[in-house]
Amino acid sequence: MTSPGTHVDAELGELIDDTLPPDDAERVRAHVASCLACRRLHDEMREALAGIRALPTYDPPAGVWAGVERELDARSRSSRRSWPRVAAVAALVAGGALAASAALGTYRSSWSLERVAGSPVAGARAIASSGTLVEGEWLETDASSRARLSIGTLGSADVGPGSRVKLVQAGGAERALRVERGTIDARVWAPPRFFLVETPAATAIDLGCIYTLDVDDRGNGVLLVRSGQVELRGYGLRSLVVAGTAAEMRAGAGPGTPYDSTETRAFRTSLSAIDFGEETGRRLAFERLLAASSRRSTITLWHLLPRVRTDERALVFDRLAALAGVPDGVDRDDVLRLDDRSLSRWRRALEPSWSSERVRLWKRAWRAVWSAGRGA
Amino acid sequence: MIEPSRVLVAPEPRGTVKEPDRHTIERCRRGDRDALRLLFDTHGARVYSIARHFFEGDDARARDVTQDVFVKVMERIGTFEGASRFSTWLYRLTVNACLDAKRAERRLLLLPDPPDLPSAVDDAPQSHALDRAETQTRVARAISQLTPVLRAAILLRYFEGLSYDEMSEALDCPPGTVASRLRRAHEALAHALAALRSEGPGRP
Repeated sequence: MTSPGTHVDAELGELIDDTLPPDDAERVRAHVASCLACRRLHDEMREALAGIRALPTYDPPAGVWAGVERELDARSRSSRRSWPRVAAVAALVAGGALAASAALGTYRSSWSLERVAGSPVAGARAIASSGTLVEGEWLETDASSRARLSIGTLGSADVGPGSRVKLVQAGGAERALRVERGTIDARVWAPPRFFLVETPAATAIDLGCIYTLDVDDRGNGVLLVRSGQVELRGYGLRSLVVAGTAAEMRAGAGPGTPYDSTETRAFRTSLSAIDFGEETGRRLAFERLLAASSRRSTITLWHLLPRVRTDERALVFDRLAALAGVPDGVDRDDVLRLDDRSLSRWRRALEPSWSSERVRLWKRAWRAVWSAGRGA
Repeated sequence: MIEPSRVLVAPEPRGTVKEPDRHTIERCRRGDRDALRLLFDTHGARVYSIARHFFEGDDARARDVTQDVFVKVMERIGTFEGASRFSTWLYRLTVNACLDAKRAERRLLLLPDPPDLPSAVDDAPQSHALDRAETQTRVARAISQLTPVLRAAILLRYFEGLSYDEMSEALDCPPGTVASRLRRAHEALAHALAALRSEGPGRP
C-alpha cells in the first residue's frame, strides 16, 4: 500500500483510465489532490491521452490500393496468367463484351502524345503529328526524334532522342512511366508522390517539380532537379534531390548520394567512386571527397552519414560540423549511431541551404496552385 | 479546479467499423480481389491512421505499411481462424508491420515529406484552428518519443480504444504485460509532453 506521502506516478495512467480498484483509486486521487508534482504529472498525462484520442483518422491515399494490387500481381504473376482469358470467356458467355474486353486488358487508358521532331513510334504506330500512347505500350524515339507526353492537366514529359519509355500507369491514383533508356524532361504540378518514373536503378518520385532524368543503355542514370524536389528510391536507399542538385543511379546499386550540381569534377568523381566504385579505391576517394568539400557539399555529407562505414562516419560528421555547425539538440554520439531524431533534426537545419531556388516561394506557389484547384 | 481524474479519459472504440462477414473472409481466402478491396475500404483507414501516427505523420511510411498489411491479409487470411475478431487480427498485422518497418529503417535514409506541403488527399479545411494543430503536433511528437513497442501499445489503447484483452491478442502478449507497457507509456508520455510544453510553440 502506498503511503499518502509517496508519489504515485506509476498509477496515474490507470487512475485516468479508470482501471484501478476503487480503494487504490481513492488513495491515488487523495494523493494527487495534495501533491503538486503528481498533480502536474496527472494533468499532463490526462491531456496527452485525451490528445491521442482526438488524433485524426485519415483515409488511405488513393494510390495505396493500386500499390496493393501491383504487389499482389507481382507475387502471383505466373499463377494468374491464365485467369484473364477464363474470365473473358465467362464474360462473353454472359454477353458482356465490354467486361470481356476489360478482363483481357484491351480496355486501357492512354495519354496524348505529340511529335516534336523526327518519327517517334508509339506501340507499332509512327506518330506523324499527334496520337496516343496506351497504357502498357512503349514509346521509342531514334537519334533525331522527340515527343511530348501530356500527363493530363498535371504536366508533361518531353522524351528526348534515343529513348525507350513505357506508359506503366496512365490513370487512377498514380501515374507512372518506365524509362529503359534515354532522356525525360518532366514538368509536373501534381500532388507529391503522384507521378513516378521507374528506371532500372531507382524510382523517381515527384514531389512537385521540374527535372531531367537521363538513363543509358545499361540502366544507369543521372537525375538533375531544376525546381522543387524529387525523392529517389531503390535498393533500400532513399535520396532527396532538390533544385540545383543531382544524383547518379546505378542498376543493381540504386540511387547514389545527391550533390550540388556546381560541385567540382574531382568531387563528383570521388562521390561516384564511393557510391558505386570498387572497394580498393574507396578510401582514397573518400579522402579526396572530404578535401574537395565546401559549404555547398552539406547535402552530400548529410546523405553520406548513414551510407558510410562507422570509422568514416566520424570523419563525415566532423567535416559537416566544420562546414555548417552542429545545431542544438544534435549530439555527435547520437549521429554516429544513426539516431533518427538527431539525423532528422540536422537535416531540417541544413535543408534551407540545399536548394538553389527560393524554396519558400516555390512551396507558396505550389500551395496556391493546389488550394485554387481544391477550391474550384 | 477539476478534481483529479473525475474527468476520465478511458478509451472508447473509435467509431464502429463493421466486422467482415464469413462470406467476405471466405472469398478472400479464395483470392478474390473484390473481397480484399471490401476489407480495404472498411479497415484501410484504421491501418493507415495507426501507421501514420506511429511514424509521426510520415505519409510515405504509412503508405508502405498499409500496402504491406493488405498484401499480408491476402496471403495469410488462411491462418485467420475466426476465433478472434478480424479487426484484432488486423491490428496484429499492423503493429508487426510498423515494428518491422521501424527495424528496417536502419538501412534507409529517413526523409519525411516536406512538412508544410499540402497533401493531395488531406481534404481537411484550410482553416484548421492553429491551437488544435499545435496540440496535435505536440501529442504526435510526444508519441514519437516513446519506444516503438510502447508507441504501438498507446495507440491501440487510446487511438483505437482497445480493451486490455483485445490488446493482449493484438500484441500477442499476456494482459499483465499490456498493463505494464501502458504504465511505462503513460509516464513517458506525460514527461515528454511536459518537456515539449516547456520548449514552447513554434517548433517545427
